[in-house]
Amino acid sequence: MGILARLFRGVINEVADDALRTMARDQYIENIFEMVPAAKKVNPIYLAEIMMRAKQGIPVPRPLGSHIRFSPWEKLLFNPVHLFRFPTPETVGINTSVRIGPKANKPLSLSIPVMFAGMSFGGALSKSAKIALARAATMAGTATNTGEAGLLEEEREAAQLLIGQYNRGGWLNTPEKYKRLDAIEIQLGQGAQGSSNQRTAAKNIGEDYREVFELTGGQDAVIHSRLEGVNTKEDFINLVRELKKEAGVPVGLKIAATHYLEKEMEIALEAECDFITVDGAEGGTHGGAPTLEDDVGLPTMFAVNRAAQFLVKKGANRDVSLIATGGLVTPGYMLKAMALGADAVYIGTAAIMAMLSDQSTKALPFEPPTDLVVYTGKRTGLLDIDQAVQNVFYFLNACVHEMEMVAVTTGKVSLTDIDRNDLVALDPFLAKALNIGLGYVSPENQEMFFNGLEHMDIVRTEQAPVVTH
Amino acid sequence: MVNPPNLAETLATFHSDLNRIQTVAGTLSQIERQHYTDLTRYEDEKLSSIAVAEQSSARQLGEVKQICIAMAQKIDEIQHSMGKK
Repeated sequence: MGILARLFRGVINEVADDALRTMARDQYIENIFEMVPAAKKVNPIYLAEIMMRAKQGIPVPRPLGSHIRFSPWEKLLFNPVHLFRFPTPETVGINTSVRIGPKANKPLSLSIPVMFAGMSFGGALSKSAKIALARAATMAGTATNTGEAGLLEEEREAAQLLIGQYNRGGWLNTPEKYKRLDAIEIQLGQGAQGSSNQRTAAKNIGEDYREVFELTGGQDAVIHSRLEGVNTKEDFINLVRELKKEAGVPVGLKIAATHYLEKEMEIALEAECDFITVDGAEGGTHGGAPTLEDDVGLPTMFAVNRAAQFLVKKGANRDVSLIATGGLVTPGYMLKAMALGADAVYIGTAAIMAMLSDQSTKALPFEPPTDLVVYTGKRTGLLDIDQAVQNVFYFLNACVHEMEMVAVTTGKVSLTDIDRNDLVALDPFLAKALNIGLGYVSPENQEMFFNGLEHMDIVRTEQAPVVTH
Repeated sequence: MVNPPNLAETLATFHSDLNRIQTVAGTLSQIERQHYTDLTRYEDEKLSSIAVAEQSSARQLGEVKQICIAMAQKIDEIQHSMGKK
């Protein structure tokens, strides 16, 4: 051990001893340790946000969405097979492709069922980050999404498949722009912020941002709570029909998941949307008010289940694609969302984390790694785009490979063949709500188990319809 | 003067070609998968990166196969409706 290291250890030892003695001696009220129970009572995140609100006087824009894990994905497991049904031979390739909007004139065909969620250039990500996502998506045979932005030429060029958000800022809502897209997603809300309005101050808008959004100098970028021209159900129906006719590509609706989900979907079906995207309460964002992130919406798991059941009930599950998003950070979560009825999933936070991966060292330990990829970051120039592309592409590849492994062990030849019958629940309420077998008891004893609970007036035995792809 | 192509014959040709493309895509996809397995046997970073690209290519060829199947089905439907007329 070197002299410096020994000296450092000696200093640390003295400081730690002194701190421990002080902590043991001082009254609680004048003891620094008071911070520990205080932070535990209030929660360290909430404590920091109380301080930020007190200092800034405005809602604090928290990046990446809610920290609360609303959807209990870990309470669902896939069922491996051995003899009852045989696993898929490893020589058989698992079909991972999926079609979004199968009834559209030009359906969106993907090699894998994982896409990149709407993370806008400027409002959220830097140009480099958007280009990296577009290139990685192209390599993997999937689509990326513009987010609520204008049409970024570099993104369009790099993305073989680009989904564009017809947005509440109006920046992509002209025919010369939306006719260049491979699918149009009418964005009326997002999991992290509901349908609330948002504003990016002019001081945070650079020249390239202004150009893409067609803003004048000093003009803020404003996302309204309503889409311009859509104030009635009929307005929305007319808009969908017009876009379908003009663009010919799949036209869908994206909403923040809500307890009014079925009522919203009813209108989307009436408008003949080709796909519906439900963004659960766990959805990410570049920065949203903590109250919108933590206290508004519906968890992804329940949203995707209800949306899938509703499509089955309406006989629309084969014609209208369902895309799930919000907090799907592992391949297991993604595949479980698909087993519950989603045709494909969007990922946001996980893709950003994957992109950063070992490049995080360029920002740590003094700045958060996201400083390399967010538009307002000070280190966006340090992002190695080629490395970012490879990281994200590898991440997608690994995720889909893990999904294929689940297909093998469940005896399926296609990811879309995996359904809720391949799942078991570790919670009686989830089992009932999702219409999945309960792992506590054998299949033949399920009824007896739940009847027992019914006698205790805990659950009702009414069955939900079964969803199959 | 060039005669307009016979629609029924054209559809039959497309159907046959699609079946051929589907078979080729399926075969290539299988070969790419085998390449992935072979290349990952060596603990070499460069070969591993090629293996990952092969695996992704296998999936994309799988997608081509599925597209061909869907198109061939569509042609079947058209031929069927033409036959009814």
